[in-house]
Amino acid sequence: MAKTIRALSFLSAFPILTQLLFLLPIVAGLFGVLLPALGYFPDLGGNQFNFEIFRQLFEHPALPYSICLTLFSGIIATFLSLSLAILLATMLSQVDFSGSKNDKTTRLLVFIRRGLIPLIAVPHAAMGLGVAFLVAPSGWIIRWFSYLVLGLDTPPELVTLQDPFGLSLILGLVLKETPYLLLMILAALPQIRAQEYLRIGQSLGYGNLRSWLKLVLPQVYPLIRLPVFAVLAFSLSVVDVALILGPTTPPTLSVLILRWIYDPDLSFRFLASAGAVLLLLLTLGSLFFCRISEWLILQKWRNWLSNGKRGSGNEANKLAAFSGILLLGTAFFSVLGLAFWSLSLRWPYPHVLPQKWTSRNWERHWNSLQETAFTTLEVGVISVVIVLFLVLGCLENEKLRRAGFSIRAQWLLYLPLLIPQATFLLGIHILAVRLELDGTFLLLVWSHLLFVLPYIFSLWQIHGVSWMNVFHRLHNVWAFLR
Amino acid sequence: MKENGLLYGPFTENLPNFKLVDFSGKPTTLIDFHVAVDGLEAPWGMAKFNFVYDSARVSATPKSIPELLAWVKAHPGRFSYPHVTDFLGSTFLMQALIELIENPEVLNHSVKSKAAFSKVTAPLWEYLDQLHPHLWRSGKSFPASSSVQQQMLNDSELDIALSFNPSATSAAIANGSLPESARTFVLNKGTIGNTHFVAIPFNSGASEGAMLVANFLMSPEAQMKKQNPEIWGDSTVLSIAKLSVQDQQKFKDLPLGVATLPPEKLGPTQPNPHPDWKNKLDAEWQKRYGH
Repeated sequence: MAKTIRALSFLSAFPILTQLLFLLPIVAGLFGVLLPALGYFPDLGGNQFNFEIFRQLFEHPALPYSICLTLFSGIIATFLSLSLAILLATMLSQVDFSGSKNDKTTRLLVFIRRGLIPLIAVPHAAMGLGVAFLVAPSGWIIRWFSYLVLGLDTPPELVTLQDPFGLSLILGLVLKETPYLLLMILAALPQIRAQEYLRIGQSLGYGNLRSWLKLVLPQVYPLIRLPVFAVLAFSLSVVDVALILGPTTPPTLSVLILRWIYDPDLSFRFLASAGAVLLLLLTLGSLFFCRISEWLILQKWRNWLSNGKRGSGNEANKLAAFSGILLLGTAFFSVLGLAFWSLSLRWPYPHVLPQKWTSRNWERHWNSLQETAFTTLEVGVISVVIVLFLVLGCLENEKLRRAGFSIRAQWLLYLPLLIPQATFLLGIHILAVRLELDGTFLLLVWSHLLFVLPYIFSLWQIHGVSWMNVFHRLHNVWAFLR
Repeated sequence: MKENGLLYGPFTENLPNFKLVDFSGKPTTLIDFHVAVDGLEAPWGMAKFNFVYDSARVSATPKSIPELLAWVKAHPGRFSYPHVTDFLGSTFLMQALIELIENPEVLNHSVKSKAAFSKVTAPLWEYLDQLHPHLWRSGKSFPASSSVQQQMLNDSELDIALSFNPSATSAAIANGSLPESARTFVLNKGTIGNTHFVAIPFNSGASEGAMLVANFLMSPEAQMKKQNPEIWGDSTVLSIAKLSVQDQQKFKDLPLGVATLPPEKLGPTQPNPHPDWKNKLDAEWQKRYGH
């Protein structure tokens, strides 16, 4: 008994430790950006609190367009990614992946599923560069088109990249976010016993798509809500993809903030901080808008869910297969283009393949690459190990206390994904320099933890039931062996 | 940064290689944008505004800012300059302004008043209003940076681009990021030139190490390697006459680079306008064309 109590008090430290570890830098980061936004930054001569900086911000000529562009590209990208992920899930969940069936369709579906999931591992910036080379007016698609059909000496005057509506930016985001949401949906399906519901739906004469939308989606959505919100927040505040694929005159708000941060005139730091606060408000507003939309859609569809109308709905399969292949193809050729560039010495328009191949790019950067790659690996492994330790501790605690991780706590853990990085990372940076922690390994790992934890936690949350099953089994084995 | 005391130093006098810098021939090694350096920054390289073009597609290059307008009108969509948030974009504005006004002297002092600013800069906005409809994407969008613009020149999306380093084009040809036919040109009345520096922040935890690096960056060995267009192609801040005979010879033996203009053809160097002008030009540009 005494042992159990000691274990309990030891374990109860885990949720508190976990939350402190994550809340501390975020709160500190928010303060670090809020103070300069209100005019306080003594090193740059700002000693008074006022709203002068915000007045300057709202007078900035690029701001109205930037805000519209940010909201438009972020919300549309999230909506498209979610729709595509659901569409693909309706198709992929029909397959029996055990390998007992081996017809053409099954093979295609297995191929799409195996192809899409690894896309999560492609860095956003790399995918962005690849897409840029694919769709630019002097890019790969037009080069092939020109080579095979038209024979254009100069690239056509098309606005296919960095277009004013941010369409190429949306494409880049959808390529990365769809596989992530798809993975989240597929991981959630066993927990709600989706296959059983689908079988019941189909035996009652609803087609696959209808069974999915009426029976499975209403149960899956609450499980993937936080990941969807994370995708929305990410799309609104993304910097690297927006720099590469987004318009320039003016850019999205996050890129505008970045330009101000890097302006040689340091007084722009104030404006950058105010912009970061505005971005936070826009993100929170969009999340709220997203929640309201969910509710409205539910109200509108409530009758439809139980109206009893049947229909095969299998036509969606073709659309899903088509979009899956399109998505995979675009991603594949983007990455292939990048690989070719890394091996090319010279590859100008209109050549469809590099004019000169070389290994020089790799040789020249190999030494520094090795070191960087090793640091990346090191930081990745260390942060995952720490997070796994923390998450297991939290789970154990939960098991022994029979208390769930509260909804509030889950939202707190998701904060690093819901608050724009530009907002709190700028603040953390300012504070880290103060504490002389900047550039240290400790800070590097710590800042990675902020992003690793929510991802691992979200997977656990979705896999909740299966985790508990594993736990019970192991617990029984342990009791038996004892 | 100097105003707010954010720079460590003065430290350059303590660096042995600082004595080798060409202060008389390259006076901008002591002045950074009209602010006296006062030993807070170590000179690192020389820069000069120039144009890059593809000689396979452009036969006659413009010799002045008005001639550039005529060329752009004759070749719509084939020229652009980077967004003013890129240093090169705002340098283009200043370059045009210097040539378009009668008395560029006023640019050496801070802006006197709003009225003075609008009066002095009026010819520039008139010029840009004429230029923009004929630019790439009709002047509604601008390349984000000079490196993006270089890529566009390489891919024939543009015929003329900008650079702030006379040897950069040769270096870019050597590493395959510009075609062999890329060349450079300057304007008859001269172009803006200055010096870039390295500095140490006041809160640096490793100021001794930083000084060691700054000294190394000014050494004949490092400067020579940096000036080689096959490596980087950034002109030296050193006075060749102050170097040892062997080092002088090594500098002489450096290849010039296929697209680099020899010093006598680089034309006169104009000083950077006072930074006040740059900030106000950028802001006014944002208001007029940035959205």
